Amino acid sequence: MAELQTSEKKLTVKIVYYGPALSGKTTNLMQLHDIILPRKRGELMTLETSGDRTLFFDLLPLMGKTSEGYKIKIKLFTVPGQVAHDATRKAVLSRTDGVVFVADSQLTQSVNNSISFENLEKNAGRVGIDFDTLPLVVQYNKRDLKDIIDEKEVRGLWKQTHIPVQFSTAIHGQGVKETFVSVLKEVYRNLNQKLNMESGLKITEDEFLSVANM
Amino acid sequence: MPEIADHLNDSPGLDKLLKHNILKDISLDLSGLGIVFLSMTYPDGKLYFISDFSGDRRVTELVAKFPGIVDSYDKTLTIDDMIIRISPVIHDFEIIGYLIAGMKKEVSDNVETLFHMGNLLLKIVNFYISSTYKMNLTSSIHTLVVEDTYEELQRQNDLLKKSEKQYQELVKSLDEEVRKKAEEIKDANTQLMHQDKMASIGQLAAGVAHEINNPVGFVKSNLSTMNEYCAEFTKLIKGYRQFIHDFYATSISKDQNKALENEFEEIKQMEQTIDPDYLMEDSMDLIKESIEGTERIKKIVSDLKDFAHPGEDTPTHANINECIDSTLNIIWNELKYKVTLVKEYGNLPMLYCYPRQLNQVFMNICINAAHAIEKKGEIKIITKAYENHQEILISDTGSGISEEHISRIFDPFFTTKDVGKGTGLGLNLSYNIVKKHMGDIRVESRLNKGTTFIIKLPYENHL
Repeated sequence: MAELQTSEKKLTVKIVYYGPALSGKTTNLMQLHDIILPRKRGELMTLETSGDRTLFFDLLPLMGKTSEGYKIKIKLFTVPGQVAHDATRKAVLSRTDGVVFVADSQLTQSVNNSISFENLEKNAGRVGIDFDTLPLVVQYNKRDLKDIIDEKEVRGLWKQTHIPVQFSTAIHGQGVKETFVSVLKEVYRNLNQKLNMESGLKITEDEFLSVANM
Repeated sequence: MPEIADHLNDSPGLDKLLKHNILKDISLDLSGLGIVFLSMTYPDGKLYFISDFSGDRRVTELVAKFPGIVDSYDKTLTIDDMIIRISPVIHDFEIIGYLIAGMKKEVSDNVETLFHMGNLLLKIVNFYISSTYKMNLTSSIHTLVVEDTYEELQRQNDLLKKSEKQYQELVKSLDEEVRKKAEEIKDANTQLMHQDKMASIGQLAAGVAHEINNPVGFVKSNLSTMNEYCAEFTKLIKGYRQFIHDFYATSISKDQNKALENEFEEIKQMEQTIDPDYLMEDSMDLIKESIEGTERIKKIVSDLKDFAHPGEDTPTHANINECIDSTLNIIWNELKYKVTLVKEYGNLPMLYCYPRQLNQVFMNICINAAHAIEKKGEIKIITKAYENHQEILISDTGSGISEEHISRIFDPFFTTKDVGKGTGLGLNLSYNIVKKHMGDIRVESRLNKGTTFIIKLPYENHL
């Protein structure tokens, strides 16, 4: 749940990158860290095991300022993808304002993608998030690899859900910013309804999206 | 889960991120390098930490009045002979405090030194802060995960315990079921065994009956014939005697025939020793008794056949008094030496039943009664007719049944007789037969006084 401190003119938003193990969640954050203007971002905090697997989470803090002087802080988190770390995923997912689901495009990973997505839905329920209204973007990563799922098939799969789908190769930085902007849009729309961002707080969508500026 | 969210969302202050002792530790080394003044304030200028080796109170005082001399930008100031560097400490896009370092101005190089030292110091402080921040975050998430996992494990443990308890109860009830079923099987087996035994006896009886009936038949027939012959012989002998008597009485001269007279004397002697009157009478009696005996044999064989007749048993109308008599007939041998039999039969209408089976019941009880009587005693059999049922009471003056045994006498295989003497099946079978007739069987007994079995057989028995 976005934290709004009107006295300090500060809005804190949380977005979580979710998905199966090794799908590219941490890579997304690393790329964003490199892309985004240094003054608009903090240091990327990663906690990994010796095998470069995310242990608890990664955290990338971003900040933008509106013309009205409102500070928009966006905290990007990733979760550990390994199945055993479910309790951690639940803890990190708590009070999130938006989710990027990073799926591995490889055909061999389609079952893991499904399991992880179901896990997201389950954990969202367990921490009191209404999954149907949660701002959500799906990113099919690793488009550079062989034996990947067809783009048309992906769009076919997700068409009914009306969830935005992005394609990316995070390791080369491709599609990362687009995905991020996409989830920001979803989050803005949702928060606008709840907090009356545009007319009440005078925060426009463009200003909100400017957090992602390079 | 508010705690973790707070940690991840809010901005902790200096107190949480930079402990005093760290600064104190650094300040000691810094003083050796010429940085004689080190201080940290909160964003509002309030003092957080101060370490002053300068011996000069001025800077301290100034810093105490801090709000007046600072803004967000990095600044170097000169105050008397001290140059001080003020740097904002930023964490999560917020200024969480100000770091102030000071050197004596003596050497002109000191400005540059202070500049670089200040940078270094800031880097160290930032490094430490981000480290602490990271650790705080991970500790809190770790705690939550551990607690969450523990709760989940507890929950699953409880479920498992519950499941195990259910299984244990199932096992217990299964145990109970198995025990019951085993008993049922045992019972059924017992019944089968008995039926088998009865079938064998029946076959034996049938065989024996067949073998006996033949000779018994012609013995009886011969005896009857002998009876006739005896009657004829008697007639003839009587005739002869009369003739001799008459002949002797008409007095032929004794002298005429001495030989005849001697012969006559001899016969008279023979008559005395032989006593033909007695023989004649007794012969008739013997033959009569023998014929009765063969009739008895026939009846016993017939009763035995009836009693253990193998094959289909169909219900029929029977007179219970007759059934009891028939049974007594068979077992009379067991009873006759010890037992005085008293019968008080009521006027019983016919009962629709399995008479052979009821005979088994009467036999079991009467034999038990006889065995209970040590030397001499009485067996009393009373039958009564009531509106809806008939009652049969069989009492004996035997040794009685003790209180501890009396509840078990109808149990299968329960016997107080020595091994080989009793199977313990008789009363159980009797019980089952009475129950089959929708009846009731009870026992009343007193040790050393006697036992009474009370059997009730209703007319309405759905047979």
